[in-house]
Amino acid sequence: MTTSSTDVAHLLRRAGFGGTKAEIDGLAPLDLAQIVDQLLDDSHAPRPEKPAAVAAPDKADWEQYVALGNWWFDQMATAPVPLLEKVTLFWHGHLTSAYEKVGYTDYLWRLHATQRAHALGNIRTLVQKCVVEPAMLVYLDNANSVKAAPNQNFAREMLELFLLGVGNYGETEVESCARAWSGHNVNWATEQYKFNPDQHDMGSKPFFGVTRNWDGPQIIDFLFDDPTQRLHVARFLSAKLWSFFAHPNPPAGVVTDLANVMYAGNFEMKPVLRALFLRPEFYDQTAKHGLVRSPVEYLVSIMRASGLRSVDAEPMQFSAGLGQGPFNPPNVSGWRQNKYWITSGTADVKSLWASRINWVASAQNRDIFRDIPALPLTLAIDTALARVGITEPSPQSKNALTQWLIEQRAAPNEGWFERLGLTIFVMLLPELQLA
Amino acid sequence: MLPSDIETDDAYRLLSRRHFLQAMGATGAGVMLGAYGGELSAHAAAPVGAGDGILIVVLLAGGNDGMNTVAPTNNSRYYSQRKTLAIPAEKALQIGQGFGLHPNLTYVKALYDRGHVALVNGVGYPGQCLSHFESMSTWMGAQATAGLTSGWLGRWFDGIANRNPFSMVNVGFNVPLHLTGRVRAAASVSPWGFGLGASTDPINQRLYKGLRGLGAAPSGLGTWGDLIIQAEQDALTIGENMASIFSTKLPEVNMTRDMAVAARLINANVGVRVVGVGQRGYDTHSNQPGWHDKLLGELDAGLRALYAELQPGFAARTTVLVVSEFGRTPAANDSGGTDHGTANTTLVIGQPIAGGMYGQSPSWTDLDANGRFKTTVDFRSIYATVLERVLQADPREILGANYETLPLYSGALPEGVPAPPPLPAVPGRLLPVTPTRKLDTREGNGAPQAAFAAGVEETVYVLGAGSVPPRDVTAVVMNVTVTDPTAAGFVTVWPTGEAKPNASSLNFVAGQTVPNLVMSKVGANGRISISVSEGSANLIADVVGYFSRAGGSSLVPLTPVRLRDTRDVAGPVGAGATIDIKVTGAAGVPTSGVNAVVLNVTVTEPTSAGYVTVRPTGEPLPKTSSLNFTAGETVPNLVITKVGANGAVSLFNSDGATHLVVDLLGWFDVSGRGPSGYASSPQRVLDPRDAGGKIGADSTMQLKVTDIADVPPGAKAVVLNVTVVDPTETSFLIVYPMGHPLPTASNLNFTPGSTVPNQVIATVGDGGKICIYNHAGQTHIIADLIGWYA
Repeated sequence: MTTSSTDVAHLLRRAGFGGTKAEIDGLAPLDLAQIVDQLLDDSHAPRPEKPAAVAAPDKADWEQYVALGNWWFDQMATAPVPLLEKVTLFWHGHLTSAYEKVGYTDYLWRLHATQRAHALGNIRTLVQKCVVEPAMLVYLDNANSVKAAPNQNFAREMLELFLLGVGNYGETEVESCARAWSGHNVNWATEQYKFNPDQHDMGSKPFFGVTRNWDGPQIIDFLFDDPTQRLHVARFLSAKLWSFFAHPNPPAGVVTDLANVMYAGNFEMKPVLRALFLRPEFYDQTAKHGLVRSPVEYLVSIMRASGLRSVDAEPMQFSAGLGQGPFNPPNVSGWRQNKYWITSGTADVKSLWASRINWVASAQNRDIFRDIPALPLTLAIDTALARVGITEPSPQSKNALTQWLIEQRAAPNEGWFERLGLTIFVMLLPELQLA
Repeated sequence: MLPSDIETDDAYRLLSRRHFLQAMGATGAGVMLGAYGGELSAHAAAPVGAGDGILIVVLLAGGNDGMNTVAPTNNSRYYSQRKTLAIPAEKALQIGQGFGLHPNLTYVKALYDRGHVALVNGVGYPGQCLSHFESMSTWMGAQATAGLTSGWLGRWFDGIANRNPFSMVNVGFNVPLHLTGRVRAAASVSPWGFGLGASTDPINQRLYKGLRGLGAAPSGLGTWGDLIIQAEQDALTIGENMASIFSTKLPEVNMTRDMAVAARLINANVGVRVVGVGQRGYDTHSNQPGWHDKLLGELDAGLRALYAELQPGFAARTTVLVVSEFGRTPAANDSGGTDHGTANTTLVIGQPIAGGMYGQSPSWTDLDANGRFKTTVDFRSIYATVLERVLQADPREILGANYETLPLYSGALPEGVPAPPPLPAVPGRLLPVTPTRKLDTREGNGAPQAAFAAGVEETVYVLGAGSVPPRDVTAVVMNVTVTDPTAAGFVTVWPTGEAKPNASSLNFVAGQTVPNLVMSKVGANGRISISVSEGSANLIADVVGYFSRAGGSSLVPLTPVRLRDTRDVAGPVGAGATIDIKVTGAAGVPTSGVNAVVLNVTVTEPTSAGYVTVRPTGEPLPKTSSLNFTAGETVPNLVITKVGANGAVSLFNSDGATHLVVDLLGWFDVSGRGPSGYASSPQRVLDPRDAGGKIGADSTMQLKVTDIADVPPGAKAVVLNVTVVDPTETSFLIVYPMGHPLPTASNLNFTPGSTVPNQVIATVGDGGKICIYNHAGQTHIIADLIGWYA
C-alpha cells in the first residue's frame, strides 16, 4: 500500500526537518509502517566524537560554546538519520542545562553526547545518565548539595519537569528527594561526577509513602518501577512527546495509548515513537496545522534544504535572536511552543537573518538563489520554493511572491535586488515557519 | 527579552477564533483582520490622552530574593539565617525603619530619597506551590479563579475603548502571558531593530507591498499560518510608524538597552500605555552573591537609562512595576544560595508614587508549614491599584474579584496631555528636489487664501506630494519668502508639536519682500508650524530638498568661493534673462558624483522689484523663486540646487536688471559617504544682548558652535540662520572656519537700517569655532542654530 505524498511530507517534517521532493517521491510507494521503520533505523547514524572546535584549547570558552552550537546545527543540517537529531533536540529541551549558568562548554558537550547516544534508546537509562552529568548537577545546584543543607532545586525540577509533572507529588517528596541526592556532587579537580558518602544523608526519608534510606538513583528507579508512579511518568512523557511531534493539548485517548506502549515497552523510545507516527490522529488536520517550527527547526530546515551551512547561516546568533539559543534555554523547562515563536519581533529578526545570509554569501556568489534571476518567472518561483523545501506552496503564497517578482523584474536597474528580496520574501513565507 | 515562561497557546487559540469570527462578520471575505484584533494595520497611532497613565512592567524571572533587595538590617535573624549571604548593614543603602537597599541599587536609592519608590512588603498569594511555572502563571494571569487563558494586562487591552494598536508593546522577541488578552495581544518590538517596514527606499517599499499581498486572504494553513502572516503584517506597520526609535544608538547591556527602547517607545508619543520588559536569571540556588549583585546592578542601570531618556511630560505619568514570581527561602542553603520561597517585596516606582514602605515585612519566626515567609499582601491588590490609578480600569472586571487597593499614589496623575518631546535629532542625507511649492497664502495654496496674522500658529503639510515621500523624512529644506508684511517683525518656523522656539527664521520690515532658506525638522503628522510675530504677512514656501534616513547625498562643506560677480564682468542680468554658471570641476568640486550645490546668491542694485529663480541647467523654469526683491535692495539668500546638464546651474531674473553675486559654499556628494545632516530644533546661539552690543567695522567675532545645544564635538559644519539688525553702514558679513584665512565670499549683504536674515552653512574650524567678520559700520548679529553635519 502506498502513502500519500502529503502524509510523507508531513512525516518528514515532524520526524526530521523536512524532505526534498525526491525524498518524498522515493518513500511514497511504501506503506506507512515501512516508512516509519526506515526513519527509526539509526544503525547507519554517525557516532560523532567531540568536535575539534570545542576541544580547541586556544579558544575562549565562549567561542567553544558557539562552535559547539554551530557544529550541532551542521549535524542537524546534514544528518543521515534526521529523527535522531530531532529526538536529541527534544531531550535537549527536556533534560536541560544552560551555558549562561554552567559556563563550561565541555560539560555541555558531555551532556549532549549522552543525550545523543541514548536519544532513541531507553528513557530510564537516559535519565539516570543525564542526572549525573556535571552540566546537570551544576545547572540545578546539586553539585554542592550536602546533607546538612540539601539543595532543592534539582529535586523539585526533576519531579515537576523531568518525570511527573506538577500536582503529582508533594513537598515531602521534594524534601526527601533533595536529601536522597545530597552528596551526589562534582569533583572539581577531575571535572567528573562524584558521590561523597560523607555528605550524603543516610537517614530514613519518606517518599510516596515508602520510608527508607533512599539514595538518589534509587528514587529514579522507583519512579520507573512503582506501578502507580511509572504510569504517571509514562503519561507525562507521552503527552510531551505528542505535543512536540504532533500538537499541544493531546487527546486523552492518544496519551493513554502511548503511555501503555511506553509502559509495556519498558520505556524504550523506538516502540513509542513508532506508535506515535502510526496513529491516524498524527495525520489529521489538527496535527498537520498544529505546530509552528521552533527557531532551531526553522533554521535547520532551511539549511538542510538549501545546503547552507553554519559558516554562512550564523545560526547560533540568529536562533538566540529568535529566542531559542541551543545550550542556553531561558529556564529549566526548556522552550515553549507555537504562539511563542510568532510575534512581530521574530518576523523582524527573520527578515534580518535573510538579509544577512544573502549579503554574506552573495559576496562570494554562493547565495542560495544566485541562479534564480536567470530563470523565467514561473520556473524561478518553483525553483526557489523547492530549494528551501516548500514542496506544496499555498496558492496565496505563490500568488504574492509572483506578483512581487513581476514588479521587481519590471523595475529598471534594480535587478541586483532580486536575490536579496527573494531571500527575504521566501524566508517569511508561512510554509517555512510551520512544522 | 522576556523569558519563555508560560504557554500562551490556549490564549491564542481563543484569540484567533474570535478574530476570524469578526473577520467574517464584519467584512466578509477578502480582508483578514489582525491576530491582534485587526487594528494594527488599519488604525493610525494616536498620542496618549489627557490624564492617561503609563505602565512599565518589569518582570524579574526566576524568583528575585526580596530580602537581599530590601534587607532588614536591624533583624538579627536575617544575619543568623542568611550568614555570609546577608547584606552587611554598613554596606546596605539605608532607607530608615531598619531597612537598607542592596548596595548596587544606587539609582533606586536616589529615587527612594525623592519619594518616588514604594516598597510593598510581604507580597504573594495563598497556596503557593513553589513551582516557578505555577507561580509565574498565577502572577501573569492574575485571575481569581484558575486558568491560563489570558493575562491581566491583556484583558485590560481587550477592553479599552480607544484601541490604539500601540497601546501595549513588549520589548523582546516573544510576548508573555501577562500581555496576552482574550482577543488581542501586545505588539512586540525586537530590540535588534526593525527588519521590516522602516525603509522608504522604493525597492524595499515594493518588497513590503509584496509581503502585504500575503495577508490578502486567509492562508489556508490553519490558525498558526494565519497568525504568522498577521505578525509579519504587524511588523511592517510597526516599522513604518516607529522607525525613529532605533535612529540613535542603543546601550549594549540587555537590560539597559531594553529599558532605553521602552523610553523611546513612550517618547514616540504614539499612545503607548503599557510596556513589557524582562530580565532573567534570578533563580539563585547557588553562588547567589555574584549573580544577584550583577542582576540588580543591571536592573538599577536599566532604570537609570529609562529615566535618562524618558521625556519629563511622560515621566510624570509613568509607573514602573517590578515583579517576580516569588521570593526565596529565609535561610541560605549550603550552596551559597537560597531556594524557592513565597512572600516577596514588590517595587512600584514613579513620580506619581507616594514613596515609602507598604505592607508588612514578613516575620522571621512565624513561618508557614514549609518554613517559608507568610504572605501579608495579595499581589492582586497592587495590580488593582495600578489598574485603577494608571490605566483607569475597573480592577474587579479584570481580576474577577475585589482586591483592596493600596494608597501608593500621592495624588492624581498630571492633568492634560503630556507635552510631546522635541523630536530627536535624526541623521539624514539630503535629497535635493526640483523646487515644489507647498505654501502660497496669496493663492490659497497649502493654507487658506489670507495673510498669516501675528501670533497665530499655522501648520503646513510638507510631505507626500511632488518629489517628497510621505514618510521617513527627517527634515525639509525650504525657501521661505515673506511678502507684503504690514509691520516689522519675524517669522518662526519649527516642527509641529514642539513648543515654539525663541528663534527667527526670517526678519523683515513693513512692506519688504524677504526670502530665506529654512531648514526644519518635520513635526507631527508631516507638518511644520509657521508663525508671524507682528502684523500680518503673506508667506510662500518652496521645498527644495529633504533629509532622509533612507539614503541620499552628504554635504561636503567648502570655505566659501566666489563664482560670479556680475559687477566685475558681464554687467547686470536683464529682465527674463538667464545666466548659466558651471559649478563642477572647479573650486574643489569634482566633475562627477555631485548631486547638488549650496550657493549664496545676492541681488544688488536691482532696477525694479522682481525675483530670481535658480534651477538645474536644462530643466524647465519652475514656478518658484529663490530670491525676491524690490528696487534698490541688496538681498542675499542661501540656495540649494540640483546640478543640471554639464554640471551647471541657471539663474533667471524676472524683471528689470540686477547684479548677481554667486558664492559657492559646498556640494552634495551623491555617494552619501560624507557627513550626515542633523536638523535640530531651532535654538538661539548668539544674541546681541549677550554678545555685548554691536560688532564694529573690520572686526571678527568668534562663536563656539560645537558641544552646545545637541551639536556633538565632532560636527563638521553647522547650519545657522544669521540675521543682521540695525546696521549703521552698507556692509557685509563673512562666516568662515576658525583658523582659516578670511575668504572673499560674503554671506550677508546689507544696507543701513535694514534687517537681513540668511541661512549660513558654516564649516567648523579650530576649537569647534566659527568666525563672523563684519566689513563696515556697526551691527547687531543674531544667530540661531538649526542643524549640523557630522
